[in-house]
Amino acid sequence: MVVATASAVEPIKPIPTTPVVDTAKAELGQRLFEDPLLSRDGTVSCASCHDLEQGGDDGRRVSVGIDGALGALNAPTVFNVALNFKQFWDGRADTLEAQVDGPVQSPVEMGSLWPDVVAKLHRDETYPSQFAAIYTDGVISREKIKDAIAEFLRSLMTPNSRFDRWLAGDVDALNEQERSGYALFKSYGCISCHQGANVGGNMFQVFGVLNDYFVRRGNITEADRGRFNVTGNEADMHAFKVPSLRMAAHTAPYLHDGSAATLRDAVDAMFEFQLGRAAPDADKDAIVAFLSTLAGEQVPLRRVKESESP
Amino acid sequence: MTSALKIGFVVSVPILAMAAFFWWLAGGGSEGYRGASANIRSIQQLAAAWSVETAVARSNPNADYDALAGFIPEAARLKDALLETVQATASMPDRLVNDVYAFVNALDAKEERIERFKTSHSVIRNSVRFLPNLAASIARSTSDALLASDVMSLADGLGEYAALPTEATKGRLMAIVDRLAERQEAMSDDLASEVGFFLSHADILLDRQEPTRLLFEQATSGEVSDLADSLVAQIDAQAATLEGQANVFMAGIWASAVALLLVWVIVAVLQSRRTPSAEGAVASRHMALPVPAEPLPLAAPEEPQSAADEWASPPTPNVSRKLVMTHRITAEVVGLEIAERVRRLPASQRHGCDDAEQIAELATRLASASPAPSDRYDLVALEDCVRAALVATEAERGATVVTEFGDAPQIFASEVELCLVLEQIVDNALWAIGERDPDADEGVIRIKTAADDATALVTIIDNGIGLAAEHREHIFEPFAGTREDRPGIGLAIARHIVHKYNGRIAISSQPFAGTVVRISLPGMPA
Repeated sequence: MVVATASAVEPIKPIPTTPVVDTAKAELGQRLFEDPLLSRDGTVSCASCHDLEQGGDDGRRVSVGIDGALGALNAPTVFNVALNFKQFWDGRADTLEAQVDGPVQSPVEMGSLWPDVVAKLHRDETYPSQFAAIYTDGVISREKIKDAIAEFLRSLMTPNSRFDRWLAGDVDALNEQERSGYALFKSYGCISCHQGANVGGNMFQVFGVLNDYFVRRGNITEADRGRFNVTGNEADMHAFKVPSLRMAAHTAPYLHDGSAATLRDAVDAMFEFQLGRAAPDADKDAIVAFLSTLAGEQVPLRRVKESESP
Repeated sequence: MTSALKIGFVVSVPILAMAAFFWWLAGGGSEGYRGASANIRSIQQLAAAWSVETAVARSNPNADYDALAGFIPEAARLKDALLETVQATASMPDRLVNDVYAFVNALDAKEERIERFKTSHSVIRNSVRFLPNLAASIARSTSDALLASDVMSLADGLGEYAALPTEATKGRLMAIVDRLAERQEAMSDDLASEVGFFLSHADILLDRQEPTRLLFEQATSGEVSDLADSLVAQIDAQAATLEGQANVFMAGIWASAVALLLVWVIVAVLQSRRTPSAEGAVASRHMALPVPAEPLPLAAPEEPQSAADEWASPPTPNVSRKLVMTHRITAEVVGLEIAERVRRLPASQRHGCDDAEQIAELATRLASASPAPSDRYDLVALEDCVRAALVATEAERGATVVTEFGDAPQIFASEVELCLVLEQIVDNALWAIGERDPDADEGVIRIKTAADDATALVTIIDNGIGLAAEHREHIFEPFAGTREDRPGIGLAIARHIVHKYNGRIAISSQPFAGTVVRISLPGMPA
């Protein structure tokens, strides 16, 4: 009985198995996502920093944009982004569509102006017909580009993880250490913030609740102010969107500044600054083991590149 | 078919179209208001549901915040749609628009408070969840009975405080916290660390409980709902007023349109009873046009320079009347030509066109039935027509124009028609000049008026490309022209008009040397 109702009472919910997407639109979105045409000098695509083969991020401390410019923050994964309540570390975009403006226009990311992007796509041999096949008034526009990319992002769900199968009643899906890791995750209080279907991504939280991370680290940047940059409210100083831990096993390094090289380092930092306490290594290792059960399968979307190559 | 009916139709259709437009406009105006109020109601419902979910999240220790997050995109969508509707409704008073913005701000404030509540609440919930476990663990690991008792009573007290925060409870718990903090120094490192952790969470609970409760109350207050009620009432009242005005206005428009239609129908019926004989007369007059007269003999013209001040203020006949009459005359000329050609057809090719006269009559009737203003006859000076034709054709751009005006008698005719004759000829002269070698001599058009007793004479001479002999023969017949840019009815029209006033028109030309056109028209005796 406990097993049958587990998912109803657990503070972590399984990822929905079938994301609702318009396949043709999502395929266009994927093509745009992988096309460096969107950047000013044609060298950087969305996929440059959100590599789907690498867990949806770039494995760097901070991302590299056009002209080798360094970003201010660690690139988050694009998997399961549709489950986040807002986008970006500071939550400045309410929707996936609105989010696209950020990286495309940022001078240290793709550095483009929208009219240039639209013009480049117009000149392409196949984009105009691909847009026309999907949108009734086939004219390529900023809104349609954003719409298609957002649709693609909505398709990037990772259901059927071992943990989700365990939630659904498959008691053998997790081993002893992983089950105890989940119990510790809840009892230490990690679950207070990393919860819901995305194991995070549904609230803001100040980094450094119990110990001041920024005093310890020093060299405070504008990006370190987090949500404060959006609201201007003192209470939001150093507040960030709690990141999803679904793909944590594949998205090193960690934290908004990419300062934790391994998952274990990130768990250490959380204990120190968010929980304000020490914990036995065995407990932390168990939590890391539990976190590695959260990543599921990527629902396959026909790869546009593959379908075009002979 | 009467022209009155046509005019009635022509007048009524735009009025009805205008009425339909105003109807749409009036409806569209209040539509914006109704749309805005429906949208505000949707936001009101969303805000209420959001409050309920917030309360659920607060009371359920295992609840996640996914449900609360789910409201954010929907709120953004409704908000955008509302502002878009309001911006598109130009007639909405500023007062109402400001209220709508205040309403949207209240929704934003609600979202922000829910966010703050979530941030604070999750930390408190975490502390509440494991303070008892932490207290039990400390109590087990110490032999100090007072410490164990303080820790346990603090944990219990914090639980009470979380359920019902009062100042008295807070004061009592603060005293225990202080006491534990003082004794921390005397503890072993491990125990001190555990107690420190316990106290950190106690601080969080004590400090944040009350502000979080306030945040919750603000986040779930009925502010958005109250604002929605008052806003919808105002907007609906405004919409009702607009719709009332629109109804009255529309009734007026429809009544006027119907009345106009009735008037035109009556006029049309009255006219149709007396017009047939008149139209018959017009048709027969056209059928009895005189045969063109012999060309006038050519004479070498002598053209003195005209005074420049004669160009001071050329007369300009009403343009639209001129246009209508041009079309009408064209229709007449073409109609007669059709009749003529049908008449000339061999019987074997007539194919149902046996009655050529009937076809000609139909063509002329069609022309005379067009809704042109009835033409005015007046005493017309040929010189005025020459000036008007030169202006209309922009003759000075294409050639040097020399005029010599004699004392030609005035002609009792339609000024528009006479001007049209001269316009056609000047236009041809300009074309003929333009067709020459580019490096030929300066193009010159000479126009001379003179009197021959009671007859007015006008001669137009150009040094253009001229006409070949084979062309001269049929030059006055419709579609016989040599110009590629015109259908070739200009001279046919000119001849048609000249003959109408019992005048004569003749053309003589020398290829590559020039053309002379002479017109004589019976004038009024001085």
